[in-house]
Amino acid sequence: MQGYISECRDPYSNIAFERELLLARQKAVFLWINDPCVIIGRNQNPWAEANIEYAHAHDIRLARRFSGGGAVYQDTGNLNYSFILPEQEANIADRWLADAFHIMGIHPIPSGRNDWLIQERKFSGCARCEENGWVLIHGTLMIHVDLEQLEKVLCPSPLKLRSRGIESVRSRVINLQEVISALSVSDAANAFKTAVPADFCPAVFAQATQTLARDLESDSWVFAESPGWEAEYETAGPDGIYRFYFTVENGAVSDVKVFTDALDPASPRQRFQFIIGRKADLPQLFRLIDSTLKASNLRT
Amino acid sequence: MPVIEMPAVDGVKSFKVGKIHVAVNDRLEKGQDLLHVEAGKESRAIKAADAGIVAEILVKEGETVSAGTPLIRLDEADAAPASAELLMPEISGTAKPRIGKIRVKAGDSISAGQELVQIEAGKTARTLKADADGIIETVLVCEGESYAAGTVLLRIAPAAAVEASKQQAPANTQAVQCDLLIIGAGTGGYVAAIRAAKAGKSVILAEKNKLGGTCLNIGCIPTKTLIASAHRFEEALHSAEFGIDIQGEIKPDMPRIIHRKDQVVGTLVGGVEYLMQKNGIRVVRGEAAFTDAGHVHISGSESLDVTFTDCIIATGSDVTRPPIPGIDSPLVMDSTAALSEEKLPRTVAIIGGGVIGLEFAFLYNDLGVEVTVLEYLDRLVSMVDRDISEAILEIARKRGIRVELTARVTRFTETVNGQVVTTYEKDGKEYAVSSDRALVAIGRHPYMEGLGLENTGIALNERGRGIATDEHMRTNVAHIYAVGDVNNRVQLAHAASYQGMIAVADILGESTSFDAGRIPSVIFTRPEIATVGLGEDQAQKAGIAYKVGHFHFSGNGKALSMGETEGYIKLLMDENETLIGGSIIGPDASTLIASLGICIANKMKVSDLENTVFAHPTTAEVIHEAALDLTLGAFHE
Repeated sequence: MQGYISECRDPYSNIAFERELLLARQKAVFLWINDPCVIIGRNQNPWAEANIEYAHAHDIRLARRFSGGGAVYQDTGNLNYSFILPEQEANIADRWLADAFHIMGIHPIPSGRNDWLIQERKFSGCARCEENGWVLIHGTLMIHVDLEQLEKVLCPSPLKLRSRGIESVRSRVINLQEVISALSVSDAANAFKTAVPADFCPAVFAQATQTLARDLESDSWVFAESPGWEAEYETAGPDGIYRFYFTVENGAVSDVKVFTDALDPASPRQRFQFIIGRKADLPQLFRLIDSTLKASNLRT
Repeated sequence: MPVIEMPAVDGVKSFKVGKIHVAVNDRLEKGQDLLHVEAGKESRAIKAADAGIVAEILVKEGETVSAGTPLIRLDEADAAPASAELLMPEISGTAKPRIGKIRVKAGDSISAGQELVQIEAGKTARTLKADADGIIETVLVCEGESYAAGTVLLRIAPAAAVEASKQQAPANTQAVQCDLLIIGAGTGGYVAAIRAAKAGKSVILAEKNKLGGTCLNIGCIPTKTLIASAHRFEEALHSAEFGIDIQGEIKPDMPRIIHRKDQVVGTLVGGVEYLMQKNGIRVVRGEAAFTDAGHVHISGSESLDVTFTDCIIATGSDVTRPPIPGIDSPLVMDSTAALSEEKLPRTVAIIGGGVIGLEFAFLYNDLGVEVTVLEYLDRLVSMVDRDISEAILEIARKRGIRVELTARVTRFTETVNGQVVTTYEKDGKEYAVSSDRALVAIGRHPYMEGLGLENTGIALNERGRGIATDEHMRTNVAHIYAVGDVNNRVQLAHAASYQGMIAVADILGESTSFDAGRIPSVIFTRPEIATVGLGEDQAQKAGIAYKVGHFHFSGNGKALSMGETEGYIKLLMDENETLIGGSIIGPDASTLIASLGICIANKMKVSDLENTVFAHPTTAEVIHEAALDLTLGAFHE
């Protein structure tokens, strides 16, 4: 079996490489580390999972992975492992993982099918993606993740929205360094290299991988892949309070409803019809609405 | 209408019909069992060779048949195969997987292997894909909901049905989305398109006529091309002054002049087409109309419903045809018709002494046509300073162009001998001028017809003259911009391009504001007139204290050598000695104005010009002399 170790910290490139491994239908193991990023599950809505503006302001990248499950924050204090196996052999992954934990010197307790706990706090979670009878099983391993950053970025800004995507389950988390203070990310990677019967080499990203990585970075993947959702916005216009209800499909506003207590609203629905079809970048939409309310009051 | 017959089987002469599995009107799939026949204890299934509908069953159970006996008649008129269903798969350990993203909607064409629905169960993501080509009939489930294994998620009509339906309804409206929709591919629209495409925006450019708009096709470029021919002719006529003896008849060949003009226009339009391709701009031929403030329908070679993030209206302007009796006579032309007229009139009456009228007046005059200009106001080209209006009036009259000011045209009348009489009032009396042709050139008005502006809430200027815009070219609807003639700020091609750049800059979040003072204006009379910034009339009106420096081309060596000494330059500076405007009437004015434009856009001082060295002998030296006139006094005058 072939093992790969990524020397790249770009989450999009690593997710793309992992994707290509799954599509190649060869047994493989992949170890990777990312620069600060939030990685959401395949069927999640980034607006519901993360504080997007905080992420932008702090250079935390936003990525969508191909597997299910919830949102994670990770940085260089986190190790990711990925196993690519035929579905009928998938159980071996649990063995490898248990062996790796043993080598690291930790004795966690499994929780449900996917999580691992120490002191009743989660330090590792895993998710899967099935494709053509092959399965990708991958997970995180928190060693010394910046928990303050994690707390802030995984707290979505107070937007009123109703997502049809998968919601994350909030867990109390723990860094493994709290348990074994000397444990480093490379110690954890070495544990996998010992536990998994594979020949390891550095991952080389082909052109196709780079191309896929750029697609994975695009809004059409990170944002527009979300299942449909709805958002609400309330603002004080020059002549009264306006409340907007947006329906979002494929990352763009597909419908908008406007309610107002303004005395003489000039057909509000017609006026805000132009919102339809626009990219559902909420803060920008809200600014646009505010400026339109202001502008239409100035000029007739 | 196909009939299924009993196939021949070696060594067997007759069969007994066993079970018939189908009934009339049953929809058959290819390979489906139709009936069983039996011979010598061997039962054999007769299968459908193709899809279809059972029209008639020609045999009965228990009947004896032989090879060739017709069994079933099929109707293929409605032979569309039954639709397929996409089911929720069984996933071990999970009762009800949840639907994530549904990637298709009813009506979508799909191809085999395409991703249709994303499902998730216990953190495992899986993608359901299409088995075969087809079209989505119905989507039966919702994103975010959970469904048991076996639930029908989608109904899919197979590709055969898709083909059939395509033949029935060929021109379906296509829904498309883009970052920027630009309506009108004139100098405002296409320049904005390039600017936006270079910044990575997806751009759709809608044009119902020709790329390049008025300027390239029926405006600036064709007139300048005709003027170039007229100059050759005029120079040839006067070549003896320069010591050149030309023998034989010199005359303009109108069909060839027009042909050359068409070639020049064709080259430029082709160039714009290439630029659109190179920058990945999608050009859609058709008429665009807003259905609301976020959507535009384009009908033409394609039928599109466009959803845009931003939109720039750049529909330009149209020739204004005043309601003068007789204006519909074939002898009365507008500028568009005049540009393609292959028969040179002997005499022409031009109604309007503005830019267009005057350019045609000099063009026709150079070609030897007897020209009368009828202008309603008391001066020609009223946008320049009065002294320049007077200078060009004097030059026009000297060249034999008859100019009547304060003349109000009241009617056109065709005469029995194929002339057109233009009747006008002047000083309370009625006059008439008879000519081969009349050319109406009283201006252009913003083109907004059929745009569906009423569906958007876009506000217009006072008296409905164009779309109201702010200094960023925004209309009152926040994401819609209007640039060029349609906003009726400055009717010039380069003003439209400039405004297009401002609109795109605003879209890109870079703030620049429109500054009319930077827009130069050129009139291709002979000599040319060019202005930029403030004129004296404007400065006086605005109460700006200014000083003006003059220099005449008669004092310029190069102009003298060219034999073109008519005209002068005027340079205006304010109290701080900052250059605020300039006007040139004279040779090369159209080229010289660029230097003044740089000074004014960059708020340069007169000393900056004074300290600039101008090459000798060039017409540009007049700029230096005018600057010196403002400070030390002109040296060569």
